[in-house]
Formats: sequence, C-alpha cells, structure tokens
Amino acid sequence: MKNNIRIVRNEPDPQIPTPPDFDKALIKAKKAGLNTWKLKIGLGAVITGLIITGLLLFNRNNKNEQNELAKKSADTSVSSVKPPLKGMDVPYDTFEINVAAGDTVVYKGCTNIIFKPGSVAGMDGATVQKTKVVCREFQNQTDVMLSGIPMMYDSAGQKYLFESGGMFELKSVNKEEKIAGAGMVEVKMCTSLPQDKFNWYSLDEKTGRWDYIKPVAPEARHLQADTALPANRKTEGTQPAEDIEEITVVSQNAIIKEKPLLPPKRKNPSAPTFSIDVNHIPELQVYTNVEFEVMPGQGYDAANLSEVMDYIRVKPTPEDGIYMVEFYDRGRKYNYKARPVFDNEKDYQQALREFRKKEEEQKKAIAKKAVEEKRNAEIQERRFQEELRRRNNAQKSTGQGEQFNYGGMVAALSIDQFGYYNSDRPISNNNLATTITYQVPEESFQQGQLYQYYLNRNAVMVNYSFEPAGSRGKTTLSYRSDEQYVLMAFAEKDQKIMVTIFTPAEFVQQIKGKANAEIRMTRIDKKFSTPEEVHQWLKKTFAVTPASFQKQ
Amino acid sequence: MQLIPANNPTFFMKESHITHPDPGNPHFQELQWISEALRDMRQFRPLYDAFYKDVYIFVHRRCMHEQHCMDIVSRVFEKAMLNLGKYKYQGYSFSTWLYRIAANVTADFFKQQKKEEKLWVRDEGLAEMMAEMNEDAGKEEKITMVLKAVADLERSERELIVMRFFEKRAYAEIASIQNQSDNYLRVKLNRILNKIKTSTEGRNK
Repeated sequence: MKNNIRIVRNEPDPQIPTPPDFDKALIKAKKAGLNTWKLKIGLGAVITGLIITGLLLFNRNNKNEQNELAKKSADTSVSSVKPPLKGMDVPYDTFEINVAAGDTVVYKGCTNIIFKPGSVAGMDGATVQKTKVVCREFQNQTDVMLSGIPMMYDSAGQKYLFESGGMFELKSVNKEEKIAGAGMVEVKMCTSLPQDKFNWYSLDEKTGRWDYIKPVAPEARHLQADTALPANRKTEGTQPAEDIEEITVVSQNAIIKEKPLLPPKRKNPSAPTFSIDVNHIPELQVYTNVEFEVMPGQGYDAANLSEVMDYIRVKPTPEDGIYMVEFYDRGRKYNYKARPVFDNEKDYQQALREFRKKEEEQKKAIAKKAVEEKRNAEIQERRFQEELRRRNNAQKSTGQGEQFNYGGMVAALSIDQFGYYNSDRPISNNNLATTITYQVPEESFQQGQLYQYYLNRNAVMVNYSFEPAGSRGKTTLSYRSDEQYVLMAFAEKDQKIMVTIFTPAEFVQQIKGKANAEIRMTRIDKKFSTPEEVHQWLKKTFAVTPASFQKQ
Repeated sequence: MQLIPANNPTFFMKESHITHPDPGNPHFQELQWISEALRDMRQFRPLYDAFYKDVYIFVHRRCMHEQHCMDIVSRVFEKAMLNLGKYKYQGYSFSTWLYRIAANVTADFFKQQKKEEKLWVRDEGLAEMMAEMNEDAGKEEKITMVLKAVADLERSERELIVMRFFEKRAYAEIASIQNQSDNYLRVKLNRILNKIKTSTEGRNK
C-alpha cells in the first residue's frame, strides 16, 4: 500500500463531541486573519471614503497635510536645508504624475514641469506607472530666508553670496524613486531673474554645496497664455504615499466635477446592466434610478463579482459619457466600461427634465465664472505691470545694476535627479566690513541667525550667528556700500513671530564707513502665518514706511 | 445584475439569494444567517451550531484520531468565517460549501502531518461499487484487493469513491464539493473503477 491509510469498515458515525465555544472560535478566526479581512474591507471603506471626502472637500485647502507629506520626502536630519522658524517654511504643493503616459505640472499657474513618459524609476530601475511629487519655488529673499537654504557659493576658495533669480525644489514623495535619465524631466521656471549672467546650480543637500550646471538662457514668456493653464494636477488635502492609486481617483473625479452634466440615455434592453450609488459622481447625482449599461465586447460576466465587493471605483474615460467601473473584491479586480442609462421611461423623462434644468443653471454658472476669470486675469496682469514698473523705477532711481524683468521670463532646465535647483549669480559681499556689537534684546531670542536682507537684490546673507539671550554679541558684517540692506532676526513667542530689525536708514547712519559700530535693533511683535505674509509686510514696510519704527 | 449598497455605503452587495433570500427557498433559514453573518461575523453562530455536527462527521470519516478531527473541524470553521464573503449560493445547503473546505483542510492536514488517514468504507456501498465493476462482492479476498486498490488511489480519486459509494452523495453534490461538473465526475468515476479493476486483476495474477 503506497498511502498511509487504514481501512475502516462499517464504522458507525461517531458521537459528536461538544463543539468548542463559538466565541472562542471567532477569536481564533480573528487571530488567524479575520481581523485582516475586516481591515481590508475597512481600508476599502476608508479609500472610498477618501474619494468621497476628496470630492466634497476638493476645494478645501490643506497645506499642513501637504507639508507633512512633503516632509516625508525630505530627510532634514541629513539636510543642510534647515528652516529657521517652525511652521513658517515655504509650503509644498503636491502633484500626482502619470509617469507612464508623461505629464506636465503647472505650478502656481506658471512654471511648467514636464515629465516625459517613463521619466521616473523605482529603486529597481524599472519605470513606475504613477508617482507623486512635491514642489515649491523660492522667488524672493523672504522665501530664501525662511526656507533655510544655504546661499553661499564657494568658487576656488573664494566665497560668494548667491543672488537668486528663482529657485525650485522638486522631489518624489517616494524617496526610493529617481529620475530615469538625463533630459527626462524639464522645468520651465517662471522667474524674476535679470537678463543674463545667471547660472543654474544644483544643491548637494548633505553638504550645502552648490554645483554649477550651466548658464541660464532665459526666454520671454507669454504671461496670458501661461497663466491660462490650469493647475489641474494639484491634489489638496489628500492622503499620501501608500495610496497613490486612490488619489488618482480623487483627481479624476475632480475632473468629472468640472465636466458638463451628461444627457440621459435609454437602456439597451439586450445589454447587461448594474447599478451603483451615483451620489459620488457629481454629473450623475441629480438623477435617480441610474443604471450602468455594460459596453459590448468586454466579456462581462456577472458571476465574476462576488456577493460583497470591497469597493467600487468609477473613473471617467476619454469616451464621452462612458465610465470605467472597477470592482475590487479582496485582491481581485474586474474592469468594465459602462455608460449610465435609464430603464424606466418615467425615470428617463424625469432625468431629461432634470438635465435641461441643470444644464441651463450650469451654463449660467460657467458664463459667470468666465467673467470672473477674465476680470481676475486683468487684475493679475495690471498688478504684474505695476510691479514691473515699480521695480524698474526703483532700479533707475537708485541707478543700480540691470533692470529686472520681474516675472516675465522663463528659465528652462533639464534635470536628472530630484533636488534643489537655483538660477543664481554669485555676488561678492565683502566690499566693506564693519564689526558690529549688539545686545540681544529678549530672552525669546534663544538662538537664531542675523539676516542681512538685501532690499534691492534677490539675496539674503544668513550666516551670521545670533548670540544667546541677554548677552552682547559681536560679529563682522560684510557689506557693499552701494546696496540697501536691512538687518533682521526672527524669533517665536506666544505664537507670534517677532522681528527685530535694523532699518536701512540706521544702517547708513551707524554702519557705513565705520570700522566698528554698536547697534540696537527694534523689536516688532507680529503674527505671520506664511512666508508670503512676511514678504508682503517687508515690501510694504520698506517701500512705504521705512522710518515708522521707533528706536527703543 | 443589480448591485446595491449595503449598510455601509462603501460596500456594494450583489442582490442575490444571500442578501435577499426567498422565503420559499429550501435553504431560506441558512441563507438568512449567512446574510446576517456577512454584515456582522458574530452572527455566524447559528451556522456554527447548525453545521458543526455535519462537518465533524465528514472529517471523522477521514481521520483516525479524535483530536485531529477536532483540530481540522476548528480550522474548517475558521476558514469559513474568513472566506464567507466568497460564498456563492448554488442551490445546495451551506454544508456543501463547508464540505469543500473540509476536504481541502483535511488534505492539507495529512500532507503536512504525515499522519495515518482513514478510508471509511461501508459494505453496502462496497457491494454497489463492485457490482458496477462487474465483480463478485461475496468473495472476501476480492473485497480486500479492491479496498487496497482504493487505498492506493490518488486522493481526489479516493474521495470520489468515498463520497459516491460510501457516503451516498448525489453526483450534483459531489460536483459542488469538488468544484467540477457533473458529467466530468461521471466519466472520471468510470475511469477510476476501471483502474481499480485493472489493479485487482494485476494483483490476482
């Protein structure tokens, strides 16, 4: 006998032992994986919940989550980039990228980041299908100052300060991912840089060293055309990394949201249909008793679908009015193209009435939106022109340097790795030097840096250490006699950002031309929540009321 | 097909005999229990109570030691709870689905544990089987040879013989347990009987 088998003839059925307690059996099953099963379903629920929430809250800004997400991509423990103030770092925007097909991010309605198909690879070198990237730009001194990016450049032992013509950071949320090769990602950065003498540099984030890439070749950009591009890929207030797939859905559903309503269609009696909850599909939620008619030639088999689905996704397809409905059932996935239809004539007629009514409302809303957009574009253009004039006038009035062409240029750079890139010009900051002595005014200024903030250039000197509170500090300040500066320090107290400032007028009076100077800075308590607020405040303060601060 | 949301709007359950059992269905009660258990696994208890005995007997006919039987049965219900969402009603009692699980768990158990298995035989079924083979069931020597030949069969073949002749199950039920078609099983059974016959003739020589 090959098998280990005993033959038992005519054995009567056994006496059944008392079954183990069901509750214990249930606990055992849970331990064995029932909890996982529930978790999977729960995850499905969460994912679908996210889709719904994403739709409902699509317009709701959630910068904090994005920044949390962005932090995942930047390991600050090994980075030379150290933002000086908690919560005041330049915020990140997050974008999902269809790597397989290629994609373009339109950042803040202007800068274009072009991902060629197959441009991002995973750890194994294989191209990823989709990814998520974080991006931010640093367009002015305040951005540079608050981001904590080192701005010194060492050329053959000679130290220079960078005057930035615009800087960007682009990273994948997944740190394992890399740009697949040279030229696969191109950034066309909108910039405020002057016409020439700027170069591209990349930052070695660990050491803080900038490496030269090539000269910048700026091109004039067409403001209207560029700003008309929608920042459509931005995902706001969404969950990160592991759930890239479902975030895609959020975005796509968001696109649906902007689509016109679909006209109702009658059901083809011979085609199979199914119905799902359409409350999450904005252009269909106005209808009742909607069914989905399965498009022919897909081998649809209702038996493929088990009784309980983990979740269902509905995606638009390029074909008008046809959706891709994805059924997920514990690891299995079935896709069917289907279109919404009505079986009952009464429902169809009702839907038709609803459609006409909503279509009319939508037309009116679209027309209203177009008027608003046109007006906003005009305001934006006017502001841009005003800013341009103001800058030019400022330059001319002080008789300094080149004319800025603020915001009117595009600088293009192909990058082969994620990181920080800067279009810069090294400037010498050591024309003159004054040793300054200062009294640290408040205990809240425990530590920090003294910033020498250029008013007439996109530059900021950040490498003056600030002494502990209560002590007198001494440092040698390098400066150029033909530049305008403000000295400042920031500290946080009671959720306020306190700015200690030494104004340009004081600078001229007390520092210029002196080998030694003792300065006392004026403290201003002010609450800022974004770098932009800080920048606007600085602009306003020094453009309009530079003398409004009382010396202590 | 109609899909409708269940209690949780993120679930979509097929409208079926499970979610909406027909009161006229002979398995209405158990379908109702399943429907409830799908929403809350604590509601699996009536199914556990109702089918524990059947499953135990099924397993007991295949294993020698009571403790092994208990372990296997326990594992069967564990798997049933884990996979209840995959259950499809095909017109048979829920026990059929449990038997399918039990057959698989038992096979896995003996593959891993290398323990002695049981070939549970009833003379009545043996006579029927030998009649189909045109063999004389009156000769004990012949019976012994046939049983040895059955014991030497592949597991799936042996299971088919046991279910068909000794447990007296209908082809349709066996088809459901083994997830095969009715006709396939008939053909397969015929081949197995021929195989047994050839084997016993070989032993005779």
